[in-house]
Amino acid sequence: MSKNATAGIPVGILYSQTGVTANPELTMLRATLLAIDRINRQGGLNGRRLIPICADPQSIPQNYGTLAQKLIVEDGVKLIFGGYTSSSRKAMLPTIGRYDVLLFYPTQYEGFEFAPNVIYTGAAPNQGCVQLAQYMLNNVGKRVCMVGSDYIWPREINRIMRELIEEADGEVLCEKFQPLEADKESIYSIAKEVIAQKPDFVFSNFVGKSIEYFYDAMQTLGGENRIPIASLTTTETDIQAMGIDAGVDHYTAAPYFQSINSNINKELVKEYQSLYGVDQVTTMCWEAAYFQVHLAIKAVELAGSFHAYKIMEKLPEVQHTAPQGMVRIDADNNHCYLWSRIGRVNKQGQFDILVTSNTALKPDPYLVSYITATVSDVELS
Amino acid sequence: MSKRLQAAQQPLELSSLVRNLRQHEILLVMPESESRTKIEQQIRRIGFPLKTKWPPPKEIEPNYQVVMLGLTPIIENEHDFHWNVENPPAALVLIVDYENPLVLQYSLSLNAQAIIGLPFHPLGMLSNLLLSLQEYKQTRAMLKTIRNLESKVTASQYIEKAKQYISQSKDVSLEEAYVYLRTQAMELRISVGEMAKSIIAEDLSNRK
Repeated sequence: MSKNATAGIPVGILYSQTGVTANPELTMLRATLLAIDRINRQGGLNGRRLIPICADPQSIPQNYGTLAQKLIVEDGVKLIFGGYTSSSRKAMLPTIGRYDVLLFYPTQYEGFEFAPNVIYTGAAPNQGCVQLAQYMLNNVGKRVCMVGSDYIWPREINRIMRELIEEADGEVLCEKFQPLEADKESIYSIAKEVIAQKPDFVFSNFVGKSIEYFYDAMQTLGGENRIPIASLTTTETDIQAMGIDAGVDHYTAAPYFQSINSNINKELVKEYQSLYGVDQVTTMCWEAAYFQVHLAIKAVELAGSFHAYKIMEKLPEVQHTAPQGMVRIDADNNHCYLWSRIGRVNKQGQFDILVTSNTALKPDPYLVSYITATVSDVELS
Repeated sequence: MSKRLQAAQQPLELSSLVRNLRQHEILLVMPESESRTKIEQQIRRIGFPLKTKWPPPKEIEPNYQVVMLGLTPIIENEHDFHWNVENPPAALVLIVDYENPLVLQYSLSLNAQAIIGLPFHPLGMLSNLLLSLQEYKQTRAMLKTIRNLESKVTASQYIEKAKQYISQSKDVSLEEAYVYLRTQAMELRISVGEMAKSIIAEDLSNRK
């Protein structure tokens, strides 16, 4: 055992630093390290320092499983923070179950999961999708084109979106998917088809590089009449990558935007930028990766133990003032109470926040039909 | 009948079973234990209305669509569990600790739609419940069709016999016998089949 392991408490961090999802995962890695650093500066966990042990799964799902095992068995980590895609999360499930270690997973996903030992701190579909649909249908229009990357998340989110559009007497003009690794040309041809349909807005579930290509194509091919794009996935990072001109006036729903005007957020962004550069932007994934460390450590302190079931017992009692507002874990489903916001990209490449929920919304990962969802589930201020 | 999954670019229509998931009420019949708590939590998490009972009730109320039964305590404690296998009131999902021949035989005798093994794991529960509901509903619908067909076959047999009898006794054609039969049935506001049946019964009693 290394000196560090006896002196401090090793915690595992599994975000890809290389490969196709390295971009968002690197910001999540840095957010996690920032949270650990802050906790250590405030005295660590009951006086013991947290020792971050990072591994790079290289954006390959199976690697998350094997590296989780290595972190637990060889490095003796008591908690794991990490994962981005659903397949990366799934790959870690057998290992964390076998060794009874908790995994804190910070990405929004399609719901319908309750895996023992996983704490979900990203949004469930009921914490953003419904609000975005309502806003767009009420304020922008009802003739919609839907596009997205072709895997389980966009397909499930599009299914929900279609239901909401049809319920509001709207019309889905077309629905197009492209593989995750689609090239610029394929995305441009989708944009062409979408523009020809003249929709009131486009619902985009593209992920990764396709986001940049699509927004760029819509600007380049769209001409004078700019068709608004609404998304649950397009973040400050993507706007930066595509260029502000391509992003401006488009909509995203998320629990967090960098532009949130609170002291906690402003201070944290400032500290982050002083560490990693003033050009660094912060996103919903960054924020969830950050606050989930605080929730975890508070629960461990309260439990006085690293046993998963003891931490789980205490987690719902813990709350944390995150940059997005007060958050906590729901005792029923181990997902997180989150705020719902809708933002529109301004000329600085940041989001003007148009709507914020009155309160943090209870997660409901097993909600199938949004038509029967009660108004209070989706109410906005 | 074969069914192909819809082409990927077409929207997949959700069946009312999936869409109205949370309208299905579940009765969990199982003694208190850590496993039962976990099962209850998962059912509530999914959002099904749930009632838990132990020991097994004498009669299953008609408001439940699925009954989940802990089988081992039924076998071991010799608690009576009344289940109408011929005409079950709901879909039946068994929760088992073992899958030895004895347990399997019980599962088959009860005609269960699904079996959930312990220790409990959340993934798979929702699928099992849905498949059970679908199977139960389809079997009910099929039985109803079969019963309708059976009664139609029986009725047409009676009608044939009654036509023969009327045609002979009144010396009319078979077509005229049928018209007579139908007119009588309409007057008495009963089905032609029932009319035929009573005429045959009359004939038999006359012959005695």
